[in-house]
Amino acid sequence: MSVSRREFLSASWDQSIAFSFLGRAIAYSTVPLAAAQTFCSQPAEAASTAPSLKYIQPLHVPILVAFAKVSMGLDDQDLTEQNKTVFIANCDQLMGQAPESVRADLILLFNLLQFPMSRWMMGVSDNWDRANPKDITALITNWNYGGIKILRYGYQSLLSLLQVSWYYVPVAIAGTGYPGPPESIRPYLDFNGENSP
Amino acid sequence: MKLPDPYKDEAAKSWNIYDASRFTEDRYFEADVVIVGTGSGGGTAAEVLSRAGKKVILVEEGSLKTSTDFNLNEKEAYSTLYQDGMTRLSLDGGISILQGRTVGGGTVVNWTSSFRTPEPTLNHWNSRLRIKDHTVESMRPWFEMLEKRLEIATWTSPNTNNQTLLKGAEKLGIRADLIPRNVKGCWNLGYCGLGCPTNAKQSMLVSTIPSALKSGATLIHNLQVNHLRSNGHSVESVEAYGRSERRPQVRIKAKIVILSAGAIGTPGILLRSTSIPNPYGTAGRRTFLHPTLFTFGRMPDEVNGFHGAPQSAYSDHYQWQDVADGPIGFKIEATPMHPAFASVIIRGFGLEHRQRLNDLKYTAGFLALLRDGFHPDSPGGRVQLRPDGSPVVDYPINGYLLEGAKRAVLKMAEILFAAGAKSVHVGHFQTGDYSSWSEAQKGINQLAFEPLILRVGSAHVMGGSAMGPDPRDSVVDETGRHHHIDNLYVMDGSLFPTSVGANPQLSIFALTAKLSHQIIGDGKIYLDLPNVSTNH
Repeated sequence: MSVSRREFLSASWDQSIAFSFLGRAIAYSTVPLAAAQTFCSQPAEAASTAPSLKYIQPLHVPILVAFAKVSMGLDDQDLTEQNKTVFIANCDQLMGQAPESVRADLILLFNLLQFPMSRWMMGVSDNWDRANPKDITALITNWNYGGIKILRYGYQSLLSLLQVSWYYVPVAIAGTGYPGPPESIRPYLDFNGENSP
Repeated sequence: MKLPDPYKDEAAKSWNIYDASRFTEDRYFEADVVIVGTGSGGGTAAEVLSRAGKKVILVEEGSLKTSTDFNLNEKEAYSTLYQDGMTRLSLDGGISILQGRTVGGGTVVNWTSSFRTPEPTLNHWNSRLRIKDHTVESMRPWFEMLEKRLEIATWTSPNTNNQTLLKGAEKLGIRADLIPRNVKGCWNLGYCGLGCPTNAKQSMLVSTIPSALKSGATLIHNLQVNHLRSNGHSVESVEAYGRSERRPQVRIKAKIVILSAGAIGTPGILLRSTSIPNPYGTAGRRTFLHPTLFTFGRMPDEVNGFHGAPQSAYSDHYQWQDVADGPIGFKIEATPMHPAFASVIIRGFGLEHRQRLNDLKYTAGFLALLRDGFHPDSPGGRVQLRPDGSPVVDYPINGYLLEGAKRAVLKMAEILFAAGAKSVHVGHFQTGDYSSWSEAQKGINQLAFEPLILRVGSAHVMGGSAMGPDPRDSVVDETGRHHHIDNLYVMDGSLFPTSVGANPQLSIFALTAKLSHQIIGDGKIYLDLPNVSTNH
């Protein structure tokens, strides 16, 4: 079965309840953000308690970190508090630049994932900061290959967000061996060092 | 130490430049011509019409960033110079779309490849789509002029990444060649996609727009056009707002309105303009993207694909076979390899993905542009409006495209192995690291070629406001004039009735130069050309 975002609402409910619930919620996010927030019961922007983050709530952070570790092969040594702070701030900034509908999709996804019941129904039994990487890998596999394209869309959108946000972090850039701009141009740049390890 | 920046020169102090995000009250402007968009189409038209004596207002939704702002930082460049911070997607997320959003548009961030519209494309438009005015012969002088105007010449110092493409192609007996680029005194840095800090790239930002400003044009940036107000026969005003929290309203009246907002933006404005007739629903239809695939080779020596002119070699070997009736063709080129950009186009999961990024210095990266829009099974996409009024392209990736995608990925892998790659991985979520050509063939043929797990990108948006003789399948006529509105023109990549089949900037430069001269209609040439006769 292959169900696109356009076709999802008319799709049959032959997938697991959790995936269908998540997929349907994301599909609903094509309505304006305000309505989507009502559906999710926790207005994302209003509920944010971190003054420096506009879209990502504190409860979202362990979700992003858990997915980042599994998807990009990161560990606690990579994600020190300092690096994590920069990484999450990059995610938040990138979400601010995304189209409103894409941002709403991601916020809905985070809000749903933060609910213990929906997390449990998706096969992740522990809290996100203690979740077994195998559970998350299984969840991602199901999203990508379970046949519901909206779930694949959800994960791939999340993945792009995580990848770009991580490879904006100086320590991640350093890991690639990228040396920054050539020496010949450096004296002329308003150069803050961020793109150099 | 400072490099020259034309916008910081003394002469620039007399230029009429407004930042609409700073307007504290609603504003009203009048002009002979208002041009919405400052990219390859709008920038070219602005120079021609200003130098011909027209009072021109240039409108740009992005902000004015100039060479002193370009610090070659990926995060800063993608955040400030691209649509949606480089997060723009097709409706179902299947295609990532790179589009500039800054004064100068895509020309500020493209990789400088400057191809004439391929002859098979112009011939297809002529024979199949009844485009009679823009033939190989009639376009030739316009290509020649724009090549002079924008210093376009074949680049002869390809970096290692591009040399890899040439080497592999030569080993296999595949035709490949060097790319003409629009640069003057290029430092060969490799950061064309992040804004050129030396102003070597002859983008609209440093060529035609300063020329238009010197001729008295007005530039208003950070100004978002919402819609056009029309009486059903002509546009009465352009309705816009400043991109600030206050959203100051701006009304512009002009005798002529030119839409050059790109092939998503222009149809978006037409669709939001409910008083503009659209009886056949053609606005936004047949939008093309050159859907783009990626393949990477782990080379034995350093490639450093982040340094040196990013795109200077290509192969059209598989591009023009059975133009209209056969399988889709593709053009192979190299891609820049800066870390954040590479992290998205390089695929894989967990430690595999990390290892591929750790190998960045040794990785050669190729891309293949699919030539969409020529075959009946390649109808392109459709620009539509989201509930908030923003435009988005719905572009289903069908089996015809996916068949071409697989062929393109296989060919790129073969070229990489021929060039000496130790292993190859492709832009697919399930890719392995294939250590031989035979292993790659087997592995790639087993991959599920499906949207989203196959990375598909696009940096070229075309069509959606196509030119043509028949209002039932086009939006404007061959002069660029709207079929139903006398004073409304389209001058950007959205004019094209198919994809171009090559990086499109020179196609847009030349066609819009020709069309804007037709508006003046006195037979003189108004491009800022060295030593050229004023009569053509």
